[in-house]
Amino acid sequence: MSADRHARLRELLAERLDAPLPAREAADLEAHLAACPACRVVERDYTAQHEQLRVLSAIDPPRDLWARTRVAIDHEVTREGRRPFPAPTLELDRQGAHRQLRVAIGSLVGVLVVLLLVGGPLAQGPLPEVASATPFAIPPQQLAFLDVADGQLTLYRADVAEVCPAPGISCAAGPPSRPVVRLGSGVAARQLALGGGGQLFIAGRDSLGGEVFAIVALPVAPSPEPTLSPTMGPDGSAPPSTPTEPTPTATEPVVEPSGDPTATPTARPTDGADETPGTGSDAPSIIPPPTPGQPATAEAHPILSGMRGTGAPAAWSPDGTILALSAMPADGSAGSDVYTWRPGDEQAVPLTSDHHSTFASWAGDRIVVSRVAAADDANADAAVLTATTVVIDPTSGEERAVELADAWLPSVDPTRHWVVYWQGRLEAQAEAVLPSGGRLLIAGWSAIDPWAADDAAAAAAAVPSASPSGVPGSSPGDQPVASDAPPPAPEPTASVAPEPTPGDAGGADERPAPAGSPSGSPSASGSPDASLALDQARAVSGSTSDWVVRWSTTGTAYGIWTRVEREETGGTLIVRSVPSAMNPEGEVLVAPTPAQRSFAVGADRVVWVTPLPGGDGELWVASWGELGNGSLRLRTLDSAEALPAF
Amino acid sequence: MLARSVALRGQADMTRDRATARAVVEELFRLHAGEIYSYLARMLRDDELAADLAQETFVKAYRAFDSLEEPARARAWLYQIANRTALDELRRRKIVRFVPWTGESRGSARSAEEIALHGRLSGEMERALAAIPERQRAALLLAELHDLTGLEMAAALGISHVAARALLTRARESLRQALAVERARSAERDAARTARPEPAEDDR
Repeated sequence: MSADRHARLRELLAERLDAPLPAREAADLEAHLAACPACRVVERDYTAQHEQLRVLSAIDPPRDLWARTRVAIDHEVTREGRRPFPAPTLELDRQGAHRQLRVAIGSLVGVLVVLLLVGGPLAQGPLPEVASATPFAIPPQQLAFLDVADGQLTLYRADVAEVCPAPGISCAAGPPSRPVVRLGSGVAARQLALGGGGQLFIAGRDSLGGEVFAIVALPVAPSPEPTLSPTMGPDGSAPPSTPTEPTPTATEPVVEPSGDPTATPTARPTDGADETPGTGSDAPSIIPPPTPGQPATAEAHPILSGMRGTGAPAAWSPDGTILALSAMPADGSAGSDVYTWRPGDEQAVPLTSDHHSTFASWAGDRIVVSRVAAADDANADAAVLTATTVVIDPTSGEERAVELADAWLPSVDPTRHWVVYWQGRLEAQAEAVLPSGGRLLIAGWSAIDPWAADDAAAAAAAVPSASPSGVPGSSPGDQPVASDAPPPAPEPTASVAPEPTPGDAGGADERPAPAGSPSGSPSASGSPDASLALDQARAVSGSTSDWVVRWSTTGTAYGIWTRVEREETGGTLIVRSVPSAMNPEGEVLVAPTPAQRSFAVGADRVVWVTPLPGGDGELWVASWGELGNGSLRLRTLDSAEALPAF
Repeated sequence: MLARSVALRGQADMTRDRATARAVVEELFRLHAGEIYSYLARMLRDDELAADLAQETFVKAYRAFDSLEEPARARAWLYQIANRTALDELRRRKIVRFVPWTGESRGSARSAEEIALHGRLSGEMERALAAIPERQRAALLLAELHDLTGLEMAAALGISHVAARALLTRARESLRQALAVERARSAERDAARTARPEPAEDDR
């Protein structure tokens, strides 16, 4: 047999895997196989690889693929000079070259066409959703978001009770979101924080560019005969004990841009622990329900003036009674200090006075503060700073140092088990502290909490009366403080990953340091290192410029928003579970997705704004849990600057 | 006035066309994004890059919607776009490689998803697939894993039906030889592992 014929029969072996051979060729092949042992080996190989190929598993796309694609397509639409969602009408009887195509496509997307024809023109509205996956229920939880409606800052409420399983695709219309409180105009809000006592903290900029820090007292329940909002006396004072209610009238509410406070926002008594925002998906929400007719109006009361914000976003204490934030004089005449505000305070009260302190987070009912000092090395760049961490009791003012070397803005989880912090190079610029090249790390907090021993002793003292069995209580540093504590995780240590290595291109050997790395941390000897470099690649490039860390209320998950360049609009949000024995790196609960800086994390969900071309935005919710992961597009926003909160 | 009316009418038609294009591409995404992504991930062996190119595929589909003449072949049309996008990228990535941040640094530990993905990609079959010429790999993936018919595969690859069958035949033989090489390497590694003496207790 010639070599050509032999090769041709080999080809037939391959071809017959795809389609039956003509009878003659099939017979020739069988005859050849009977006489050619080597060819039978090839036949077995082909058959085996055919089977192996067919059982290769599919590779699931990332959850955010549709969100990214949608944004990119919308960008195309915008580039074409159209609105992102032009009126999706079809004209089936139109004459022209595309008629046949259009009708045929109608069969391809029949459901869609029916929707369009029945629904009619939907100019400027969101694209109708195509029937796809079935949404599944999740524990209902309210969320709020601040958006601009009719030129006024407006607080909306939405009740989220279902999400869609298909990643990135909305299979159901988002729940209706209703305006509940109008706050007036004149301020571009940048931060939003809901307090447990019915207070809303807003930070933003007024029309002149000055920063505004204000408190808004929210209505807790609709009142058929609402009382007036706190009135201002002739001398500009307000009765501190006057119950605050929004004014559901047509009076134009105004967010005071700046200046001395003219009224004292008064606390609505906390109705108990259940009023704490986000303590559980079934907890009562402090977000006021919508009222019939026009939304209620409320006034904003400035609590700081002539200042600009520093550090982490302002945050309420876990019981929602104390707001903590940091700020520095807007003229740069001094550095940053930490402030607190309690119901009844006219102004935020400084907690520190060293002008080097920046609010980082709450650790239980105490405040974690980052403090900077110029580098000791006289030969070093004078602008280079070193950072230390202290935890301050806001009631007594006592502060204790944390042995966490070179950590900046440590964010402690609500159960005080974990801390996420930035480590890298800090620079001073006109009294402001600017991170310049670093990375985010997660580590254990329990072992380095300077108040842990006190809390453990207090808990132990309290146990005999509370626990007839005499079982000693655990330290808050050892056990989560919340009742809905996370499942047992390996006890985290306080080890810190090694210093970043600028210029290192990053490789497989860039693993977190072993325990006892020379970073000055009190690592438990022999313990596995719980630190984890989260964005080492960015640290290597030195381009991480801005980030926000927010914890779930259970302390089991955290969201990190980062932005690479200062000029970049938007950034990237990712949500992870905390490290566990089964998954030392933590599970990615929400894959990286484009997001604005402001986002919020609840017990089992995250809400964020995806920026769209043209300045619009989309409000998204993603959830995780035993029922699986899901997401839902709540609505299209007029502004990508909307601020969500739980 | 008439000219202006015609112009406005044309603009309105175009708006409707683009709205249709967007709606259909959204539906195509819902139907085929998973398989397109899976195809790209195996072609490129990079999950993040595959996600980028899957996105690019659907953007291109929107952009080139008018070129979809037969809706019944929309799937093959999508694969054609994806295949061209992948081959373009494979040519380009020999010069520069873009790795977007995924929350996992290249130096840090991999996520569970990454471990699973790379576990799949690390098998002999995956390595053998990666070793054969890109066009042959495309033909095998389309025919075996994505169940495209001969005509669909030809359309996706942008070649004639006869050429597509010939390409697939060559691909099978290339894969057979590549698999043999991979298995030989695996056997060598196993042999080396077996031959390596156990470390002494003191060395542990």
